[in-house]
Amino acid sequence: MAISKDEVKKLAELSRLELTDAEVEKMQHDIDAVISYVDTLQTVDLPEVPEGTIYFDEVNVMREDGDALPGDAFTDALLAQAPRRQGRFVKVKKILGS
Amino acid sequence: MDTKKLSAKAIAEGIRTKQFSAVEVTRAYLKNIEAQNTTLNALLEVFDDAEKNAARVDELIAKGEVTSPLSGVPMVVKDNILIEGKIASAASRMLATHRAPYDATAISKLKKAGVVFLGRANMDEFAMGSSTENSAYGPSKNPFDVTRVPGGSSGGSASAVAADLVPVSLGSETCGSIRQPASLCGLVGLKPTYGAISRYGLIAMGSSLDQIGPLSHTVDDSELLFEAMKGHDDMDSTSLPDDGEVATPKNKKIGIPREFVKDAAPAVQEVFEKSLATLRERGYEIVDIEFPSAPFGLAAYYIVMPAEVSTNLARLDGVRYGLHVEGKDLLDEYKKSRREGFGPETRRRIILGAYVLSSGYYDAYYRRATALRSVIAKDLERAFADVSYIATPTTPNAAFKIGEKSDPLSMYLEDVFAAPANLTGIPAISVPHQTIVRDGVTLPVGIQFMSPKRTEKTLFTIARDLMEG
Repeated sequence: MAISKDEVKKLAELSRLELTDAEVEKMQHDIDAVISYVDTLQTVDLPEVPEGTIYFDEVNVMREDGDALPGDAFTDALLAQAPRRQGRFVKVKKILGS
Repeated sequence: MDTKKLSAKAIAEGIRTKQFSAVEVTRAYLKNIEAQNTTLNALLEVFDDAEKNAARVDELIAKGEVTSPLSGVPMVVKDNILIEGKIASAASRMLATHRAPYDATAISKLKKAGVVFLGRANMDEFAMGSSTENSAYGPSKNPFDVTRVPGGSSGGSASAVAADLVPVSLGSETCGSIRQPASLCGLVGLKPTYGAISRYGLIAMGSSLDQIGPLSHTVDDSELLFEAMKGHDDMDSTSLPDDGEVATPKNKKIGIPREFVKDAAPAVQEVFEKSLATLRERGYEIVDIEFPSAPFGLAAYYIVMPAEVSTNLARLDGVRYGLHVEGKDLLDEYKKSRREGFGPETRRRIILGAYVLSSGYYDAYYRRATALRSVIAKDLERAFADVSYIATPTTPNAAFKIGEKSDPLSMYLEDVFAAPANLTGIPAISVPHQTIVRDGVTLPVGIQFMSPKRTEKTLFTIARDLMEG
């Protein structure tokens, strides 16, 4: 296996995903199969490509500093989506102390 | 009215010449939906304001205020494209009640053109899949055989058009998600040049790959929709400038990457040759080309896409919007919300993305995949120096049975022919032309044409030449 159970658990933790032991096992198996497949890339002779990309004709898109929209433009619409709110704030469980 | 294979163009024309009204058209399609959607599960919701909107279009047409070639045309939209005030769930439990706060740019342009939105179409969760089996709301069915998948991820959009629940629909592609269902459902499906249509208001999956595009019965309809949606948009920084499109191909040469085509099933290769023979009769020259990097495209895709997925979906944390599950502390709530909200395939891709972006693996995976994108782009540049088009089968096979591809990798391989276009940003179209028989059922298979960036018009030309002669 290219990936261990502990690695899967660590990646799940970093990705903020809870997995059961059975799910970790299935995930290890599935991810391993995909990694074996994408590892075919290790066999291709690739030129040294500089950082950045050449496949899109990229240009920097700039705008003037400043507010793109009036301060309140979407506040109510977006706050309305928050599962838990208090007044004009999104409410979360406290993260300091306990 | 008879809606069988009726085109958007014919509908708008019929409304303009007062053969029928937009309301009558909308009612006719709502009736089709009523009769068939329970079986097909192509649509997740039918909008209750459709008739009202159709009546408004009729008024605007009467006043001469809407004169677009799409006025009064009913349509459904993949569930990851935002329509203000409507739910946009990306077929995920995570966004089951998420209402779009604004219109996607593609939608606002179509609204101005007088399109009537009938509902939202089923899809694989967050557009991850090739069959709609990853939808949190059950799979859509293929109208040619309801025991088979319509393809995906825009499978609901394809199933709906193929069964005449609507004349046209919108899908989105990250790697084949319009072309593959178009192929499996006998439709025209266009993946435009990256940046041709604004991604503003499209729920992001792989941001360097995603594009909105049309599905339709006819080439004309795909062209009408593309023309209505394209254009520069300040709200999408990867949007292309308005000028720079190329309308005429430099020659009638089609390049065939012979080695690559062998990834298709023998029966598919056989009918592919028949399509090529038709094109030859119609004045096209068929030449063999080298495209050595093509078979590696999908492997590069399965590095780049999960990396972008793990980043894009990090925002769904149960705090700002989407599903919220109570937990003992904030971290626990993140983990529980994301666990409940995301299906197995989405979780798999998030973890895969986190893996390929891990510090020790970055050079081996993400950097190599990025380099390969450049190599594919170079191979294409070389090929397009001589030919105007590259053709392959759209898919390795016809529609497969629901449940047939239970192992993820076998599902991923569905998109092997799609990857080069998404990885390099070129446009590609799937055209319905041939059928093959599986278990006594006649199933459509498409042929794909790729062409250089911003040459959609030339794709419509070759598609018309093939379909209409």
